[in-house]
Amino acid sequence: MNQIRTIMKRDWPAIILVPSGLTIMTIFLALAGYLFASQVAVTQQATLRYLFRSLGLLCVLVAPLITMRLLAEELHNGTFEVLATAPLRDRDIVLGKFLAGWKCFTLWTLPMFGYLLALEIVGAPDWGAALAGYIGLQLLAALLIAIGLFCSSLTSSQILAAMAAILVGLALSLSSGAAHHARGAMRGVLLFLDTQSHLGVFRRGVLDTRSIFFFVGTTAMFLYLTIRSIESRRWKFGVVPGALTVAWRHRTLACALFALAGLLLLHLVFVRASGRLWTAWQWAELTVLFALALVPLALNRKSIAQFLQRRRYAVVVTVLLNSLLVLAVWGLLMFLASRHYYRKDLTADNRHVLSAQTVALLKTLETPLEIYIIEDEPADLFQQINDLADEYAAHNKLIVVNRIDPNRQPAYIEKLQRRFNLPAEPKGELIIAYRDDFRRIPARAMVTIPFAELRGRVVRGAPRFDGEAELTGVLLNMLHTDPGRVVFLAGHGERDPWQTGPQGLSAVAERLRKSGWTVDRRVISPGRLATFADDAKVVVVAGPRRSLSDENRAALGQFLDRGGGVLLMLEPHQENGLEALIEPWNVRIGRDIVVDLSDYAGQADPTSLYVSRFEETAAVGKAMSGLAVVMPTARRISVTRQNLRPEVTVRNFMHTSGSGWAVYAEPHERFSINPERDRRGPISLGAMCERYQELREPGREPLRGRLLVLGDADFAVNQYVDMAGNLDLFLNGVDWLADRQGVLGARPKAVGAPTLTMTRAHIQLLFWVSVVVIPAGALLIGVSALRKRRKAA
Amino acid sequence: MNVDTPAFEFEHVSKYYGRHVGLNDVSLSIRRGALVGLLGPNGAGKTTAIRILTCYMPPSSGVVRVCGNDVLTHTRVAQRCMGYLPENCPLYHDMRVMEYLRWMCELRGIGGSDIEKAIFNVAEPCGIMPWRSRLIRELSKGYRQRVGLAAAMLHEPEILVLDEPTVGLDPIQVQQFRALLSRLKERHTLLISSHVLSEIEMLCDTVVIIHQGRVVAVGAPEALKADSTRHYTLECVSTRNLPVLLPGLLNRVEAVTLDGFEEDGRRCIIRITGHGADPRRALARLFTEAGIELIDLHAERISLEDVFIDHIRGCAREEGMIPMASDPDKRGAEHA
Repeated sequence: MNQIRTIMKRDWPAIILVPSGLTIMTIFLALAGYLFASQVAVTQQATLRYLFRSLGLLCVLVAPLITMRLLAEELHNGTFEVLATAPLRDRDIVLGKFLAGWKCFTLWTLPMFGYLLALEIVGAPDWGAALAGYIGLQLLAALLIAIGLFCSSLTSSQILAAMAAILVGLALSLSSGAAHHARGAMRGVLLFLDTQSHLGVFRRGVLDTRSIFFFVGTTAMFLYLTIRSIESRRWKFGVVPGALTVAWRHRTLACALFALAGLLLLHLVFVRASGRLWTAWQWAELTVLFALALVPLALNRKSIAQFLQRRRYAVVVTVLLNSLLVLAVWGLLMFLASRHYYRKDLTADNRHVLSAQTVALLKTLETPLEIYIIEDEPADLFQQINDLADEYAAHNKLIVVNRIDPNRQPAYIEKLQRRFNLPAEPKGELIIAYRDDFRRIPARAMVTIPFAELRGRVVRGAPRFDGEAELTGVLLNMLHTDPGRVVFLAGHGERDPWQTGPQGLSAVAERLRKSGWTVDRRVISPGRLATFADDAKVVVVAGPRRSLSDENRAALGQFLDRGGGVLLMLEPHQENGLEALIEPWNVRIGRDIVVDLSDYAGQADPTSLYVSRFEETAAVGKAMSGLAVVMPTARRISVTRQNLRPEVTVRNFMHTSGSGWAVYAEPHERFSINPERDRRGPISLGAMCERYQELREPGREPLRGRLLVLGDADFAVNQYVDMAGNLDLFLNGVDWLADRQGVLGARPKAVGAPTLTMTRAHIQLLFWVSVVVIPAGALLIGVSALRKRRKAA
Repeated sequence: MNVDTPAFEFEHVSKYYGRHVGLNDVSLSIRRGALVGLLGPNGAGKTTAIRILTCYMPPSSGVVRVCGNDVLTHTRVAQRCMGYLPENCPLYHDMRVMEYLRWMCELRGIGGSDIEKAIFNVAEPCGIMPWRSRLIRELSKGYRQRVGLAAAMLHEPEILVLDEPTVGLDPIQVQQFRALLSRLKERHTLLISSHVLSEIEMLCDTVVIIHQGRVVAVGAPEALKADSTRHYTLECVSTRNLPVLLPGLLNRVEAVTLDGFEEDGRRCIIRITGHGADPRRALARLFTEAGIELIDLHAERISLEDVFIDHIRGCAREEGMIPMASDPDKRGAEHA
């Protein structure tokens, strides 16, 4: 380790603390600063991800500038002989030089954290995402430096070394482009080798073990090859005249058999390359090929053994086998890494974490799912769509994402138009193809613009990207049958699914529609009690402010008897007249208000509950596992132990903490806890009931039905539905009532774009800080370090 | 290490570069404390031998031991026993002298306060103290050579290997460098490869002549000279029948050939090459008996250069590379 440090100690100042090194650093930082300032000004986003994309490509050019002299210069000047004859291992030399190069790059890019500080002035940058991007950039640089070092070890010409490193770096950066022209495994390999797409994962703010293993593993492989390359400079074993011509027995026969095997090999390669099916005949050919090659080897085994026993051949064979082994280990590592991986989203709002529902859905794919993204403006929306598609593809290899630029690939667009029989050229949309089915999603549909009521006026909120909900909804429709109809009961002051104001339910209705549901709002007509909602699967009674009449209760009862599902969301202090309906289900509604002295939401009072305790043994509770629900006010929903009905299964599935109380309080009255009167927690806030009863009358269907009773209705209104897992509770409840077990789980979330509102002064500030202050500061530090070094010497 | 262990030894060492033979079955053993000069024409295999010795490259076959350590199996130990100044003295020109020496100390595993001590021990004898703060690129070739030598000696190695150490130096620098090497001779086993034969002759107590990958002569310079071919000049009073008598007279002496015959009025100068024992006594007797009056008979002074050329020619003659027309016997006969 000391030797590595010693090598590093000489090399890194030789690269950076010299006038040429400081000049390159200053230019690099000024260029990066310019890119950063212009990208932030154009995109109006407090992010470094666009900068990291540019730097990823710039690295391909910059890393060889660092590495070209590391070994090539030593070989050219003869100083390598000094190193090689000192008591050092080759790996010490290579690792020392690699770490020196990497340290230089890290020092060059370290001032970029200044960009984040500058962004703090104009907005709130996402430090987690920036950190992930920075890690990705460093890993990419490590790989490019290892490649550069390898090229530098092959030649004593610095220019050649740099050009070779740039070529290899570019090839790896553009391999995904070549993948479009390849098929099968080769396509997968080319896609996997693309360094820029691996960097893209980090740029988005995600740490993915596959990309980390790719960078670390490939860097290690190139370092190993460099060690071997240096070693090979010393082999120079040469060949004893006549030593290569091993005395072969049956020379003519051996040549003929090898030639025959070669022909078969050529044929097999041709079959593979032409994409034809690999049949049993080809396996037979392969077997014959091996047999043909083995015969001469077996006949001459003694000569071969003698041949390999010579020291030089033994070393060469060992090195070749070692290199092959390292390649095989690399391949195995990459294969295992691609199978077993872990992703961690470092972004502040976890924007790239797919919901449990989406992940569960993607696992059920059986055949390839193609996502065609036909790009258009605005670019940032398509950037988000691309990221989303990449996240989907990261969860299942069967998902193939194709990005198409209509201006550059008109032929591809025509092909799509013919394939899906589209009336017009697709543009600015996604086409999802699964089996024989396909769906189109306009890109605009992935953006939700919330409307809210403010002082009696409807105002537009900031647009939010809701792509996951849209895409997952489409996939749900393609993979599952049509979910059916949800009817929101009206006529008793219930919350309205069409109302877009804070107290409306338009957001949940919209999400239900995106999930494939048909949403309806109905009153119970006096003459049609028996057929109320007979085309629906679920009826939602969302916080009635007036009592339901007996007829209405009867209509709901009949709907339940027919096997329907009813979601009752009941506000405290409001008479609803539903006790009679609920009682046969072993559920009782408390005439109280629930408070929780430890788990209450934010700055609100203890009546605003933050409920995170769910029973995982109950279906909805399990689906809500890890989530929480904010209930502005709630009443107790308890299971009654009197007159238990055996045909009904009832479960409390959510409750407060032990510090919760069910308090008797009048409306608008400040609550006070009376331990003798009030009930201490945990207080149940929701009950799931399921019924199955065979009827004695012949010919009658058994009684079925599901009932979900929640002690609050406001949690689902537009004002609160985006909080925590409120939407999840509502949607999971509806899906459980409709017996759609497969889709229960945490739901996709809409994410807001981290846009900035920048003034001209802000833009100028960013420009000065990033293009002038940071490079100049770095240059000053570099110059003072250079002077200090000279003085010390 | 046993005192009797040779400083380094080659046992049937061969080295091949492709089909070209670098070293061919070289066997050699050098005692500790020797100052060995490695001589040979360009491409003879001097640098190959040195590179194998310094563990820069492995031999194709055979065994090389440094202080008893096999260079293939105990490479690091062998390298610690040696200090090496490669040909052309490669140095990091962007470093300062002290910085470079300090760095070399760390590379050699010298740490802490020992660094300054080690540097002082070598910088003083090498005379680089006044230049210690200079950038290496600013030094003259001679001082760069001294810095390289100082770096090679930092860890007080048993053996110092110097490949062409005086190439490119001016005569004064060569003289200074020679004086430096003479002082080092007391503390190290020195192996110097050089083209400058006078230098080797002056400095070394053992000379190894290498040609076409083979060791053609090993020994002390004086012993080599003694074993080598010698030239004699015989001056006598000219007589009319001397050219007729001369071949007959020389035929009666063992292992001599006529190199030249010059007649200058009353005096004759005859040049003779002797291939064996000293023929002067026999020649004097024969000439006196034949009635030829001898004025002078002396052996020419022989240099290492003569020994070297003699061995190289001998090898070339064995391989038929020097045409027989250049054979001194023939030239003498023609003259006669």
